[in-house]
This record gives sequence, C-alpha cells and structure tokens, in this order.
Amino acid sequence: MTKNRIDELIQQVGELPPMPQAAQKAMALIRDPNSSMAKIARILALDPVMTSLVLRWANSAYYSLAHPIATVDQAVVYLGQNTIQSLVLAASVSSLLNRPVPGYDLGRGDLWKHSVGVAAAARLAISWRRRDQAEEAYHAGLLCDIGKLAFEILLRNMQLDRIEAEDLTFTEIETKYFGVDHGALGAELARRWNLPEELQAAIAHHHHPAEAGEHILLASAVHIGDTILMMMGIGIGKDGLKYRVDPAALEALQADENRVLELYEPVLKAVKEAEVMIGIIK
Amino acid sequence: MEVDVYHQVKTSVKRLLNIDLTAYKDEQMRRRLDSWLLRCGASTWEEYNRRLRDDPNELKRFRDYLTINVSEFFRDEERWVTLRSTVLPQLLQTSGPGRSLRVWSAGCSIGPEPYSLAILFQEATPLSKHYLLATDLDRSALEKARQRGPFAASEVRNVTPVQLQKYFEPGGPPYYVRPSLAARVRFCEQNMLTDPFEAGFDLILCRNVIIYFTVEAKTRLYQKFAAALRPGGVLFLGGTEIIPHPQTMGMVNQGICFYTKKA
Repeated sequence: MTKNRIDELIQQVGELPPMPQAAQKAMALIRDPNSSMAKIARILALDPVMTSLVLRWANSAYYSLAHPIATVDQAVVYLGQNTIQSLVLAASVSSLLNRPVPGYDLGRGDLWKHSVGVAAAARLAISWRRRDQAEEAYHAGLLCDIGKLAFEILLRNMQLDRIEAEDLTFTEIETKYFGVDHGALGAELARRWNLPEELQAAIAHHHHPAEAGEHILLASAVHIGDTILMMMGIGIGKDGLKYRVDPAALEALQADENRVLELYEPVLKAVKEAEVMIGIIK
Repeated sequence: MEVDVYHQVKTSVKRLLNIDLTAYKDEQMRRRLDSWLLRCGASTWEEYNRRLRDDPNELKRFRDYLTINVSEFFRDEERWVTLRSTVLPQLLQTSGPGRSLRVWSAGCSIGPEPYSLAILFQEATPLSKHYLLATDLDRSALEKARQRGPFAASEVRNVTPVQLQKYFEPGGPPYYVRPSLAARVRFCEQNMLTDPFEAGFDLILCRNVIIYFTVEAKTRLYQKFAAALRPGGVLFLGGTEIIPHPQTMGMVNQGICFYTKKA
C-alpha cells in the first residue's frame, strides 16, 4: 500500500529534477573502494564543469593561497581527498538542495546549509565507530531531506491543526496526512537514482534509526547530524523542533551527550564552508 | 494602614529584610500589609514589628509573603506551548548558527520557572547546552531552589507523568528535581532594581514578579531588560503584565506575554 502511495505522491508533485549525470559518475567513483584519488582526479579533469569548480574552490578566498593552483591534480593534492569528495558530492546535488522550500518555510540556501551540515556531522559521528563508512555517512547526510522537496508542494497550502501540530512529531503529521514521511519519500527518490541500498535505508530511517536494521549505524549518524543542525537553528522551518531524538542512535554510536557537543564546532565550520562553496558553484 | 505608619514599615522592612518597598505601589502594598497583619492576628504594626524582632521564623514568613513566592511549574501552560513551538525555534534561528542560547529567569523564586525551562530545553533541544541563569532577591527562596525542592503536588500539576518520572526523583510528593536537571541552572542572588544585569540574552523571563511595582519602577525595569536582550531576543512576561508602549523601548509585542527586541 505504502509503495503505491509513494508512487502516487511522486506523480502528484510532478517531475523531480534528475540527478546530474556527472554527479552520478563521480559519486559512483567515490564509493568504489578500488578507485584511487588520482583516478577520480582524471575523471574530474575530463569534465569542464567539475574542473572549473574544483579549481575555483581551491583558489578561493577561503584558502587564500600564495600561489594559484592550476590543475585538478594539484588541487586534489592540496585540498585532500575528503574535501574534494565533499565538494564533488555537494556540487552534484546543489541544484536540488539550493532552492527555496516554501512548503517547509525554508528560504533559498536553508536546506542546502542544513544538508551540508548534517553531512559533515554524520561523517564525524560515524567515525567514532566506523571510519570506513565516513563517505557513505556524508553522502547520506547530504541527501537525507531530499524527500522534503517532493512533500513541500503538498504542504504549501496546508493549514495544520494547532492541537495536532503540538502533540505529534512532524514525521507523524506527514504520515497521518500522506501515508509516508519525508524519509520514506526520499528513500524512493534515492532508489530511482540507483543509489546503493545502505543510502536508501539511512535516508528512510533518519528520524527513527532503530528501525534501519543492519544499517542502523549509518541512519544513527545521520539522525544525530540532523538533530544538532536543528539545535543550531539551521534548517528549522514549519516542522520547527517537532522531532524526537532516538536514544538508540547514541547507543549505536556508543556516544554520550558530551561527545555530541564536541561536534558543534567542526560542523559549524563545515556550514560556513558550505556558504562559500555555494557562491562558487553558482 | 495609615500613611505615616506605612513610612515606618518601609524603614523597618528596609532595615530588617533589605527590601525596598518604595519601588512597590503604595496603595497595593498597604492593602497587602493590612491583610497580612489580619492573618497574623496582630492588631497594629507596632505589635507585629516586635514579633518580627523576636522571632526569626516570623521574619522569614514575612519575607516570603512580601516577595510573593507563589510559583508553579509551567505556569500558564498555553504560553509555554507558544514558547516551545514558536518562540524557541525563532530564537535558535536568529541567535547565529551554533551559538548556544543565553536565558535568564528573573525573579525565579523557589525554582519552578528555571527548572521548567531546563525541562523544556532538554525536550525541545536535546544534545545541546544553553546558559540558564536564575536570579532572585530572596535568599531563602534561592536556597530552596538550589536544594531542588521540595515541591508540592499542586506546584507540579502541569508536569506530565512522563516528565515527572524523568526529571524528578522518585518517591514524591513532595517532589525533588533530579540533580542532573538542576545542574543545568545557575542560581544567583540579585536585586533587579539596583544590581547591574548581564547582557546578550536571547530570552528573559520575568513573570508575575513586578506586578506590584510602581509604574516608574516597571518602566525602568523594562528598559533594563530591553538593554540586556540581544537584538531579536524575547522578553516573556506574566499573563497580566503589559508593556504600554513597547516601541519606545525598541520592543515589539509578539502575541500574549511575549515582546521581541527589534533587530
């Protein structure tokens, strides 16, 4: 039933922008354990858009280098693997995420900053347990709210009942009105984009990670990331603070509150970086 | 109570309790004192004054009465819902990304207000840490607040069973707040009329504290509060307290009880 409902919803909201080709290729490469950074650099160098993006980023005021960087190879060496990966991933979904989302009361750039922040936080959080899943976590964090893009059109003209809005979490409200929440819808989009199963699972369950089965760690990292970005006031919209923190997430990550508080500073830095980045991508 | 007697009372109260009654409305305070004397079975102030000098317990009772230590958790529930669902998200958004909030419960009495705030923050903004200041003039009230209780069943009537279980020690009534929750609040003694304020607050609560103050004292306080808020910060007053011309202090009314400092 839910499957039909999702199809129906996606149809209702019309065509969603497809994932850009270059992005899909770059993402596949980044996920492939056999691909080296040198190989990624070579592929990037073939794509004029990506090349220019990486070079502009490396030469941006953000790094204020004494000597300009001229090639993608140099940029990869200078910026390091993590930064290049984040940049490529972020650039590839920026067209989707850097748009206003009026149904959730989010202005242009809000969802973008939120998503990049969640991604950075998820990468750090999962590294407490599994360093090798850091890139997946970044990726999942970046895409966790992609379902909101589909939902928001339906939410635009909806007046939420006040009492209900106070008693239910926002995912419960979504489920009540539409049969699914934005996580489930996002997971379906991820499936249509041929993203791997663990990403689909993390997106689907990022508000209730305990239900993510074998992908609980990934979903938990995204869950914690999403929570602290809300606490920072980044990406708070119509859904306000109406989400619950799942204690299972902290348990899965073997972390406590103090450990989470340590994330604030690096995540904030990533969000600031994201603001600069979006200026370069545009 | 005659005016000249009231003058004597003011002097004695200042000397005995260090409370300045000139900041309160004469008329109301005199009525309050009259009804208090009646309740205590004292026929004149002179008689009661003698009792105050001889009996420290009576002095304490009198102090509690004057400083109006009536308080309960989540007083005016509906306003607390607004605080959580509207004001708090707005404050997080405008406080600057990643900055934790600075919140002040002014006139916190025996602690229900700051502890309600601590519960609210724990629930609405878990995994974050905010600065929670609670001040009062009344040392004995603060002492009770610091001791985390005891709170009567009537004082916690707006606390849900789940919250009661989570944030209070088992075995009530009377109830005691758990140490982990109490550790989130910083209590300080302060005279709002004479002491300087800390600055840069996102949210200030001063509820049902200054209703008995004179118009002049109120105006001065509202101005001090406005100065202590950051631009975009919010002042949360009691149900019957209204700032007459908020714009003259750079504030905007935002629904019942809430005033926002213009950015």
